[in-house]
Parts: sequence; C-alpha cells; structure tokens
Amino acid sequence: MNLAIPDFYDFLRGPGFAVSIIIFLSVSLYRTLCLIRATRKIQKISINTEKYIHRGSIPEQGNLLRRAVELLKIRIKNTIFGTNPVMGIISLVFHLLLFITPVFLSAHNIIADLTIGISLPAIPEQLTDIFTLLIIALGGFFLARRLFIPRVRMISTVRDYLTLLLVMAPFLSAFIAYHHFFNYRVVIYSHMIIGEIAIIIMPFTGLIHMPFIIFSRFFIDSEYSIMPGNRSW
Amino acid sequence: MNSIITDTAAMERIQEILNKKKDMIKLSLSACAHCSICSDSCFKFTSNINDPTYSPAYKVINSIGRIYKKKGKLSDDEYRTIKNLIWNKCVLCMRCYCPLGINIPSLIACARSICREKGVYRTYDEAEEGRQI
Repeated sequence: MNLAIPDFYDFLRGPGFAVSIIIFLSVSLYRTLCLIRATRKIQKISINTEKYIHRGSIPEQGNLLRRAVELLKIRIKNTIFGTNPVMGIISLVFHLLLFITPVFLSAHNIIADLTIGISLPAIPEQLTDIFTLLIIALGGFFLARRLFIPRVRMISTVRDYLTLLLVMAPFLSAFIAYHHFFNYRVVIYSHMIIGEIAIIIMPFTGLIHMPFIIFSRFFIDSEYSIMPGNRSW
Repeated sequence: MNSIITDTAAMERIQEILNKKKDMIKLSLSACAHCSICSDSCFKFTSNINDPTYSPAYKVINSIGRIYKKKGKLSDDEYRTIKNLIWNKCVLCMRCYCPLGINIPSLIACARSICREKGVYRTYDEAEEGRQI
C-alpha cells in the first residue's frame, strides 16, 4: 500500500498529465479546424480610416503621449473597456492571472524540470500566493455576478456554475495545499486530479474560448480584434 | 395574422438551413461563456435596462439555440415567442459585439430565416405582439 501512493503520484505528474495535455490539444485542434471551416476568407475594402475617423479627434501636432491616449480611446470605444471599464479590467486581470499563475509557478516548474528537464522562469512563491488569492476572490466576483445580475442569471445554466467551479477548484486546492490547511497528501492529490480533469474537460465546454480567443483577436475581424483579421463568420 | 405553415416541405427547408449553418451555430453556442457582456453593445437592451430578455445573448440562446437543439421541431407557440424575441426585441442593426468574436447578428438572421420558412414573421402593419395598426 505504501508503494502504491508514490506510484500514483508518479502517474499523475507523468503520464496522467501528458494524457490530459494530449486530449486538450487534440480536441482544441479539432474544434479550431471546425472554426476555420465555419468562417470564410473575406476580401477587405481598403478605406483610409485615418482620414475619416481620426480627423479632428486626434491632435496633428503635440505630445506623443496625448496622441497615443487619444488613439487608444478611439480603439477601445466600442469594446467593454469603453462601455464598462471596471468589468473589462477585472476580466482582463482574472484571465491573465489564470494563465500566469500556474505556468510560472515555481513548484510546477520544479516538477517539469525533474520530469522532462525543461522549465520556465518562476515567479516568487509569495507573489503566486497573492495571485491565487486574487483569482479566488475574482472567481467569487464572477459567481456573485452570475447569481445577482438578472441579465447574467437568466442565461446561466448548471453547466456555467460547474465550469466556474472547475476553474476555481485547482486554485482553491492549491492554496489549501500550499498552506497545509488539511491533510497535505489528500489535498495535493485532489489538486492534481482536479487540475488534469479541468484540462481534459476544457475544450468540451464553454472554456473552449481559451484557444478560440487567438482567432477572435487575430484572425476574425471585429471590435475586439487586436490585428485586422481577414476572416468572417 | 401570420399563417403557421407546418408542412413537410417547410421542415425540410429548415433542416437545410440548420445543416448549412451547423458549424457556426454549434461553435457559437458552445463557445458562448454566458457572460452577458454583449448586452452593453445593444441599444435595445440599454434602453430597456430592466428587461434582461433584451440581452443579445438571451435572444440568441432562446431563438436559434432552441431551434438548433430541437432541430426546428418546436410548437407554434414557441415559434411565436421566438418571433417576439428576434423581431420585436432586435432590429438587427448589427451593432452588437461579443468579446469572444461570436457573430450575434448572423445567428439572429439565421433564426429569422428559419422562422420565415415556418411562416412566422413580423408584418409591417404589426405594432406589438398581438396588436395590429
């Protein structure tokens, strides 16, 4: 029995993780191909927008910073940062932290280094601890938003609450494990299992917006695209 | 009063539209995070702020979403409810946007096409649901 536990740990950090990543990547790739099939290339009409839109709103001469701010204001006017900046910033911070915290966590990188000999730069543990707390707090904010704002509540399904739980569970378990609040071994195993399940389930749920975001920002032309895309639905 | 056509030919045409747009509908419905951020871009929603049924996400989920899930086999009453959503609560101005890049107007336009095939649509002399001018 004592031997079984390290075996299971090795399985979770080795083949278990590899399988979850393979499933995540293959399903995401398949769904991305579906997305490409559902969109079409468009012939864009060349309009000198600088001439029509920016005239009068941006000073021709003057402070570079002022010009940059004016340009940014026009660019974000029709996005959530223009209509609801607080929600926009909260959402941006939450999504950035969801990516940065696990990828640059020192513990994860030590395991990666021990397993495959490759690691990424690590963020100090105290900082990732704060990031985790922030993620949990923002997760609470999104839950409250779903529960108390009628327009969000009306379109929320059980699946949405489960998805939020699935996103938050690895961070909650990580926080509990890091601070040794309960039985460390039980919590860390739960963290690894939940994390891998989350990676597997991600492309099958609404969380597919994670890989799709690359397309909506860089390939499909919209108010939110960072680069002018040449595809349309 | 609109006539409700429920013949096989209409159902076949609905299936045709659904099959043609299947990829777009399926992907859009599954990628929607139900965040309701699109509401801020809808002038019908912002001018009826207390009625969440004006939210673009609500209109999409409860029109094309329901049609797609039931493969077009909805009751006449359900089609009338959808008609109210996609004609009376949306003018298809194409100003709504989704942070995830979902094309909301295309989805509502698709729901309108299906409703027209079913014989449910808004006529120009119609003011509100059930009222004629």
